[in-house]
Amino acid sequence: MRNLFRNVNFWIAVIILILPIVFPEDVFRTLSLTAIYAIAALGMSLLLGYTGQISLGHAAFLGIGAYTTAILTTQYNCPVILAFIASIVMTALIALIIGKPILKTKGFFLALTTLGFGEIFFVFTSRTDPVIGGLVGIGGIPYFTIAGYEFVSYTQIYYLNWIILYGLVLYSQSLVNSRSGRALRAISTDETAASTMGIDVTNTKLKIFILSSVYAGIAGSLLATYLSMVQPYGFRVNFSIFIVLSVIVGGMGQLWGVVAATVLLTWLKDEYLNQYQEYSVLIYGIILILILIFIPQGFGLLGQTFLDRFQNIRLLPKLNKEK
Amino acid sequence: MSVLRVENITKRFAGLMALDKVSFETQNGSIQGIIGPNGAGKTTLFQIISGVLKPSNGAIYYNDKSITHQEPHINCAQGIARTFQSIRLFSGMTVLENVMTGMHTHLKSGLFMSGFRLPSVRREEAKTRQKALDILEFVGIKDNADLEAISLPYGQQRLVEISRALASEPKLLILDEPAAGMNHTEGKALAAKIIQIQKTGVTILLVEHDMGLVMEICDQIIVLNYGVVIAQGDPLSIQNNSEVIEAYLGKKDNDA
Amino acid sequence: MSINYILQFVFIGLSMGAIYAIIALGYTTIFRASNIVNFAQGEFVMLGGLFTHFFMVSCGFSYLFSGILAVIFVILVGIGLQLLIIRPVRKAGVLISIMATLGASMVISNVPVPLSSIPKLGYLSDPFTLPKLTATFEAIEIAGARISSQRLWVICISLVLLGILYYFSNYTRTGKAMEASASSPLAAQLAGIRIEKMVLYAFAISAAIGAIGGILITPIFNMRYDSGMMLGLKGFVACVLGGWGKTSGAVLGGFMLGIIESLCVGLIPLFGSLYQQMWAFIILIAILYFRPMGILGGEVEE
Repeated sequence: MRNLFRNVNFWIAVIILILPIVFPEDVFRTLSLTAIYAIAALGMSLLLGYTGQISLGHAAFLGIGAYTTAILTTQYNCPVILAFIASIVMTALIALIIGKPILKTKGFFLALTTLGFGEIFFVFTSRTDPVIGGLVGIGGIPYFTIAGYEFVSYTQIYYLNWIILYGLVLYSQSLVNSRSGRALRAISTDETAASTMGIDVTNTKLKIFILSSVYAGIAGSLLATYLSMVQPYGFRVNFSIFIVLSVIVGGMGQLWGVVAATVLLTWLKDEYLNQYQEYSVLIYGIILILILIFIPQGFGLLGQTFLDRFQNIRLLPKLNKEK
Repeated sequence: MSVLRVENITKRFAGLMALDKVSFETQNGSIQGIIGPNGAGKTTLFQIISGVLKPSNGAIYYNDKSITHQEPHINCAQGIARTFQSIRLFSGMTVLENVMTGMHTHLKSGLFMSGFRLPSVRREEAKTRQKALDILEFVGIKDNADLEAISLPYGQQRLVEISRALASEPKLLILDEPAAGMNHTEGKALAAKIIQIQKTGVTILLVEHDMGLVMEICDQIIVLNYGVVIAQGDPLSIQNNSEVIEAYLGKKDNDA
Repeated sequence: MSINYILQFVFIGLSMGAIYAIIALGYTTIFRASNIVNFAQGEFVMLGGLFTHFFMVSCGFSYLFSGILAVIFVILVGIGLQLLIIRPVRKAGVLISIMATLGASMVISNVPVPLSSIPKLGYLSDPFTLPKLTATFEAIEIAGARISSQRLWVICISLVLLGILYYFSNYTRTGKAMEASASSPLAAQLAGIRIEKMVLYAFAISAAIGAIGGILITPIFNMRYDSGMMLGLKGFVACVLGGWGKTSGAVLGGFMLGIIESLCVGLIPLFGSLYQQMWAFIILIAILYFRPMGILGGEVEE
């Protein structure tokens, strides 16, 4: 029992559950959205933080999830929960198809290529009118419903999104501490050594790409029901960059850290950037550059340097040299 | 029976001939050493055998099956493991985790399933952990299991790398300068360890500069110079081979 | 579908291809000198047009003078980018350097936004264009296909630029020094060449040719402060198509991309022009899948 109280997961669950008792309703409008962003960032954290693969087009996968849900629920009267599952399948499928050629590239190539993919998605959705709705998009998406229970109020949506997020964090933690988690970390450190040690690098990269896209797809589907509408401008590069930024700020491999970073960045975005909507890209760019210049040696795999600088916490015990 | 057969391996790098028709066989259960002055092509040869580099010409046979164009991870699955000259441990992982990673190829838990805390996955993890600890004990560095791998002193890092390689249950173990950075005592301990590994039925191929070590433990020695095999044989005959002596002495003169 | 019709699109493709080739060359020049991929390459093009527009509108300078000033200013931006942003971040590794150039690209492309709230500079955030180089004659006809005068200028001036660069790289001392430090940095250093200086030259050259390309292309389209990214991406595709890391690949890739893209627009019924921004990326994915080393066989891993 004592171990339970020491467990971070436990306390976070408690906080999530009791928050609505303490705070008024409108706080949850933002928090619901934050959870959605955090889900996407979590997936990106597995891709970027653990495997070191950079994707600048991830917003497109959110878009795929969102549009799939939107189309199925508005045009085909599909129950939301089924559309949700369909979104996951669709995202996984497309990630599988484009993952194969794209993952042959690395570093800069991968960054620009994923950016290109994001652009393809934008061009396609903004120019296609029948079904997709062009620049106007699709509206009238119903609330998220499970077995007749509709999530209508912000508090309800808050619980829905955060419980899904929580589940995904648990899933990710499990993954990261397993055989596959080690494989991911090995790949991000030294692909050649990983390959020599028996890890099928290409295959593993593809799988994690698909997995991280599925997270984005889930987030996208939730986003569609949250906003009740989808349009192309909602899934552009700046969204992708916001997600990447969350991962960097949160510490590349820290799962709850990424969630915390998303909460922070979303709050900052709302508080300070609402009046400056058009400046958002500029400000992100400046923040990005500043972070990169002033955090020495960049970010180690587990955000170690970041932690060192600010919290004096070591994730891995170092050899005590004073023997 | 020869576990490994290298046939006429040639490797060209943009005009430079790194290896020229290198051929030899490694007998099952033996310890074979490859020596030669720096730049002779030893590491390039290892890169090719383990599948990281493809040869310009020639073939490699493992248990009579060609592995010349096989991917490194498949080589590993079939029982070939190696350590690296420059020590390539996975940073951000403990010693234990590095060794557990070495076991990757023989474990079953799939990627997507690992997220669910299934009992079968947990059982496998526990077994993996135990086995890794056993290997660390065998090699003699069990006490450092939970320390960050790359924070260890050089000599110990090499032992971690060897443990990681052993974790993949190899039948052919390739060691690239395992004694580099070790002092005399550590070197002797390493030599004993390697012989112990051989006794478990593993064939060992190693590159070394520590002549004492090589002469002491190797059954067969191959001498490379400028990418060409200039001598093959048991330690005694190699020591008395005039070409070998010249290759090394010649080098010494230049350095002086 | 007549020959004239196809030829029409080929001409259009050639003119776009010339710009893609210039952008691609910008990438390649910087990459060969420093192993950095400059995300902000497309911004140089946009800035070329924007600065010229600014000098003409807010300072009242002539077209020619504005153009020259613009090129100079873009060169300064390029050098600034290297010195202030990329250099401090270099040692942190590849991943971090990518993010830095991305951040730079975001900042550069969006600076006009806050600037446009300054009185008299409000136009900076609007789409802009430049006058055609020769206002008097509109177009010429070759083999029944019409090619506008501006597009003709684009092709001709681009070819001249490429020729100058070729001469520079192979026949002048600095040019040969740059080539040397690109292919073997160690040998170049031993020969007394200062690599850092070469990197600066690379940025300056890439900025200059990008800016000139921007001035050439703006009269044909409406440019905006955020047009840089798309151009930059297409230039990147051109590099991969032709063979990454090779200057010949950049040029070939550029022209080929322009022509293929144009033919897609012209020949694919309905979807061709609807999705015209998409074809370049489909080509990218196809190339990566079937022939990642590009047509001329460039580097595959970085």
